[in-house]
Amino acid sequence: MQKAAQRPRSALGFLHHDNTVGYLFALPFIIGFLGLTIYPMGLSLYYSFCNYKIASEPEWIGLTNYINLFHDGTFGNSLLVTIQYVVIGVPLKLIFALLIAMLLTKPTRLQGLYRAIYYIPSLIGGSVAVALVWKQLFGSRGPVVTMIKGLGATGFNFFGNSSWAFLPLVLCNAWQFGSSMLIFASGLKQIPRDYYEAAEIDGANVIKRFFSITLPVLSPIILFNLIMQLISGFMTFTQAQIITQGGPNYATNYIALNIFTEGFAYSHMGYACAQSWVMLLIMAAITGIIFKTSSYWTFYEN
Amino acid sequence: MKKFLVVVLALCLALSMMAPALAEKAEGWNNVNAEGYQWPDYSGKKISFMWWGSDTRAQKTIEMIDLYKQLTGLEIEYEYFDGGSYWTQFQAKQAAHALPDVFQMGNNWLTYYDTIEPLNAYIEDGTIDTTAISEAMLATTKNQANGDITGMSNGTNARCFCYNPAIFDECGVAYPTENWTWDDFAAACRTIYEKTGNPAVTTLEYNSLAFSTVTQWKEGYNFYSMDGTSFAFEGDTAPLAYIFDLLTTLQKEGAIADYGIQNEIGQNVEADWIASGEAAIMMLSSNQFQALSNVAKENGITLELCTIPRVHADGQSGMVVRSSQEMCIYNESQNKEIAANFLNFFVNSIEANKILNCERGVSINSDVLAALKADPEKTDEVTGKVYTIIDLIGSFPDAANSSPAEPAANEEISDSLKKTYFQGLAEGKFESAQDAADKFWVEAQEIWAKYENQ
Repeated sequence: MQKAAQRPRSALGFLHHDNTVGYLFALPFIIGFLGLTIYPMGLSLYYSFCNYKIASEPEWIGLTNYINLFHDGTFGNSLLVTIQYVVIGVPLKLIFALLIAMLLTKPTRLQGLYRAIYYIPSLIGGSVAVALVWKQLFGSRGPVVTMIKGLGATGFNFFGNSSWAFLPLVLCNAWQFGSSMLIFASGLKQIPRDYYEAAEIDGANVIKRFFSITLPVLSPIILFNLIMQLISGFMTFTQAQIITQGGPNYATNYIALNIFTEGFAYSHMGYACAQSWVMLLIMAAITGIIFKTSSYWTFYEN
Repeated sequence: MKKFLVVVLALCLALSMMAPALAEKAEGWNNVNAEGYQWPDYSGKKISFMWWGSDTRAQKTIEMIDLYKQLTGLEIEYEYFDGGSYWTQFQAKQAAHALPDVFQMGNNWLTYYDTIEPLNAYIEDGTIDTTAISEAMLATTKNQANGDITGMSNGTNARCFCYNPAIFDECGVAYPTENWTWDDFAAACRTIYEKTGNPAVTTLEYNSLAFSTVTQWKEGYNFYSMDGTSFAFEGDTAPLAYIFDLLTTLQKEGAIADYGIQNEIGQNVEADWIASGEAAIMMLSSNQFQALSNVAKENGITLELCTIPRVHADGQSGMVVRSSQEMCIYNESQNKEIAANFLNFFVNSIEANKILNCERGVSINSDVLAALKADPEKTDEVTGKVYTIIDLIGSFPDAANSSPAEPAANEEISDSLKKTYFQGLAEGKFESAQDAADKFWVEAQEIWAKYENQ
C-alpha cells in the first residue's frame, strides 16, 4: 500500500494516492482560499497603487495613495480611535472571559448549561441584530441613558458625545467573550490540582495562588486569546456602522469603517485598498512585537 | 406599362394604408390612458427593478407592480432598501455588471452616469409618451452638458420643514410664515425647548441647509454652478459661518437634538420624534410628508409643511423644486424595450399613479396630476398640503437656482461639512464658526480636485 501510494502507475493508482485524496478533500477550501482570499488580496494590492473607481479602468499612479495617507487627518484619526478601541476593549474582554471561566470551573450540575448560555452572545455577536439592540439599549431613550439621567446627568447621551460614544461599542465587544472564555476554561482544567494543594499547604491565599500559579500556567493561552482578539478588534466594523456611523465627529470612525466609506461612498477604491494594506502592516507589526516579547512573559511547563 | 401601373397603384395603396398608422405612431401612440389602449403581452418575460424608500413606498410600489403584471403578464423581480444601504448594494451590483433593468436614481446620477441608458430615443419614438409632460419637467432629469435624458422623474419635491402646530400653540409660538427667518426659527426653538424640555428639532439636513444659506445670503450666490460642473461659490465664507454658529449654538443649548439622537433617527423619517409628538419641527423632503403623516396620525398628531427659514425675510428663499428621484434603465439591460414600456406605465398611467399617489413626488404628468387632484379620495388633506408647498416654492423667483445634477464630489464634501465642521464645531475643535467656515472652504476645494483627477 505504502509503495503503491508513492508511485502511482495507473489512473486508479493516482486516484488512490494519499496526496490526491488529501488534496481532493481539501479542494473546497483550496478553491475558496485562492478565489476568495488570495486573488482579491492580490487585486487589492494592485489597486492600492492605482487611481481606481468601481467599474472603471484602474490607472497606475505608483505610491501616490500611500503618500496621501500621511497627510490625511481622517485616516490618522481612524488609526487613533481604532487603537483606543483595541487598547481598552481587548483587555476588558479578556479579563471578563477569564473571570467567568474561573467561576465556571467549579464543577456544578449546571456548569454545562451556564457555559452554553455565556457562549450565546459570541454566536450572534457580530450580527446586525445585536448592534440594533445595543443601539436601543444605549440610545438617547434607552434604559442605560435613562438610568444615568436618573442620577442627575441631564442631557447626557452616549452617542451624542464624542468622548463617550466609544464606550457602548467597547462594551458590546466585551460582552462577546464566549470563545475566549471556552479556551480559558479548557486551559484552567489542565492546571494540575497538586500545584494548588501544595500552595495551600504553604499558606498561599487565593490571590497569591492566582498570580503565582493560574496566570503563569495560563500564559500561553492568554497569548493566543490576546492575538486573536487584537486582530478581531482591529477589524471591528458592524457595530460602528450600524450604531454610530462613525460619529459624532469621527469619534468611532474605526479604520474598517473608514475604508468602507472611502471605497463605497466616495468611490476612491484604490485609496481604500491602500488603507487596508497599511492596516494589515500595522496589525502584522503589533502581532510580531507580541510574539517576539512573549518569551519574556509566557511560561511553558515543558 | 401595365405592370408599372400595377406597381404604382400597389405602392399608393400600401402608402395610404401606412399613413394613418404612421400618424398614429407619431403622436401619443403609447398613451396608456387612451381608451382601448392595447397592453403589450409580456407573459413569460421578466425584468428586475430596485428602489429605496419607506414601508409606505414599498407597499404602494408592489401594488403598482402587481397591476402591471395583471395587464401585461410581465414578471417583475423587485428589491428595495433603505436610503443608506441602497448605494452599497448599487455599487456592488454595478461592479458585478448585475444591476437590475430598472433602478431608482437620485440627483446624484452624475456619479453613476456610466450605468444609465439615455432615454432620448425612447421619448422620440414615443415608447415613453411625453405628450402630457412639459419640457421644464423633462429638464429636471436632463444632463445639461449633453442633452441626455437620464431617467423619468417620479415627480418633483422640495426640501422643506414641517411642524406640529399643537406644540406651537401650547408654547405660545407663532406659526412659521412663508418667509420666516433664521432668527424666528432660533427663537421658536428656544421657547419650545424651554416649555417642553424636549429638543424642538430632531432632524436637520446640515449640508443642504449650509448650501441654502449661501443662496439666501445675497442674490447671485450659489454653492454649485447650474450645470454641476464647478463651484459657483467664490470664497465669501460669511454665510457658512452664520449657519454654523446659529445651528451649533442652538444644539449646545439643547434646543436642537444632539448628533446622537439625529443619527438614531437617521434616514428613517417615520422614526422622527415629531411623529410621536416630542419634537416640534423637522426638516424633510416634501414627498416624505405622506409617510410621516401616516405615522403621526396614529399618534393623533396633525402636521403642517412650511418653508426653510431665510437669512433676510425679503431676500432669497434658497429653496428649489427638483426631481425627487428618477427611474433609469440600466445600459447593459437585455430588456430595454420592455423596461421603457414599464417606465411609460409607471410615470404616465393614471391607474398606476392612483396607487402611488405622488408618494415619490408631485407627478410630472399633467393629466395624472389633474386626475389625482380631481379625486378627493386621492388628494386628501395631507397630499393637498404637499401640492400647496410645491406650488408655493415654485413661485419663489430663485427656486430654479439649482443644478439638476449633484456633482460627483458632493457626497464627500457634504459628509465632511457635516462631520468635520458642524460636528467638530459642536465639539469645540475650532476657534470659531468663522474659522470652521474658512477651513471647510479650503477642504471642499481639495476634495473637488480629487474628483477632477479621477
